[in-house]
Amino acid sequence: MPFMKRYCFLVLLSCGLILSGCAGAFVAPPPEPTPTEIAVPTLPPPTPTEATLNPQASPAADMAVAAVVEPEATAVPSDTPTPVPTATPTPEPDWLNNSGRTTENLMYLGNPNAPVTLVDFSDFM
Amino acid sequence: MLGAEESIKETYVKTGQVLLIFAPVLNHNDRSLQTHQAAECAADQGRFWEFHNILFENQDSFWYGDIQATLKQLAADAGFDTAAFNVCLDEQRHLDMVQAQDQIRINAGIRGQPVFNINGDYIVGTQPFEVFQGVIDPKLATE
Repeated sequence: MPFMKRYCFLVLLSCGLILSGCAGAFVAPPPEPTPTEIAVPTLPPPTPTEATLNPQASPAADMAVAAVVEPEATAVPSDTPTPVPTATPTPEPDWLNNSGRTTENLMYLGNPNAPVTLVDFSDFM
Repeated sequence: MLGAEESIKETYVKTGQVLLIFAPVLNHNDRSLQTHQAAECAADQGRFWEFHNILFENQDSFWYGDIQATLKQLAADAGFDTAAFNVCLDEQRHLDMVQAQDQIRINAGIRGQPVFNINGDYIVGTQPFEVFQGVIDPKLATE
C-alpha cells in the first residue's frame, strides 16, 4: 500500500508538472475586437484641397472643412438634368447709370418714365 | 445743387422714381458761360454728371483768376481726354446750346437759383433733403 500511495503521488505530481508546463500554450487568446471597436471613425488625412483652403488649420478646423467638403464628395451623380427655374427674377436697373438728353437738349439722369420729374435750375457759380 | 442732391439720387433716382434734369442758369455772365460749356464738353466724353459734381464741389474757385485754366485743370485731374476737352472749351463749341438751355428758364420766369421744379411745384433756394422729401413723397403716393 505504501508503494501505491507513492505511485499515485508520483502520477499526480507528473500530471501537475505536465499541466503547468503546458500552461503557456493554453492561455486564452485575446478576444477578437468587436465590430463596434473596429468601426471607430478616424479622420482621413487632409486632402490637398483642404490644405489649400486653410493651410494653418487646426485639427478642429480640418474637421470643419471636411464636414463642408464631404457632402459634395458623396453626391451621387445622376443623369437626370437639374430642373432650371423658368422664371428668373429680373435685376433692378440702376438708374444712376442712365443719362441722356431731353427734347430740349437738357441733360437728364434716371428713369425717363419716372412718375416724378425734378428740374434743377442751377448755376455752377 | 449738390447738397441734398446725393440723397435725392440715392433715394429716388437710383430706384427709378424720380427723373433728374439739369437746366443751366447763366447768372454770372462769362464765368457762368464757361462753366456750363465745360460741363457740355464733359458730356461729349460721356461724363456730364461726374463733371457736374466736380464743378459744384469747386465752385468757390471760379470767382477769380483764369477760369478756363481752372476748368481745364479740373478736367485733367479727373482723367478726361484733355486734348479734346481743351479744344472743345477753346472753340466754345457748345456756346449756342448753353444759351438756348438758359432760355428755357428765362421763358419759365425763373430769375434766381437754385430753383427746383418738381412736377409743377417749386422749391426755391438750397434746402435740406427733408424739404424735397416733403414734396416728392406725396406725389409718389398718388401715382
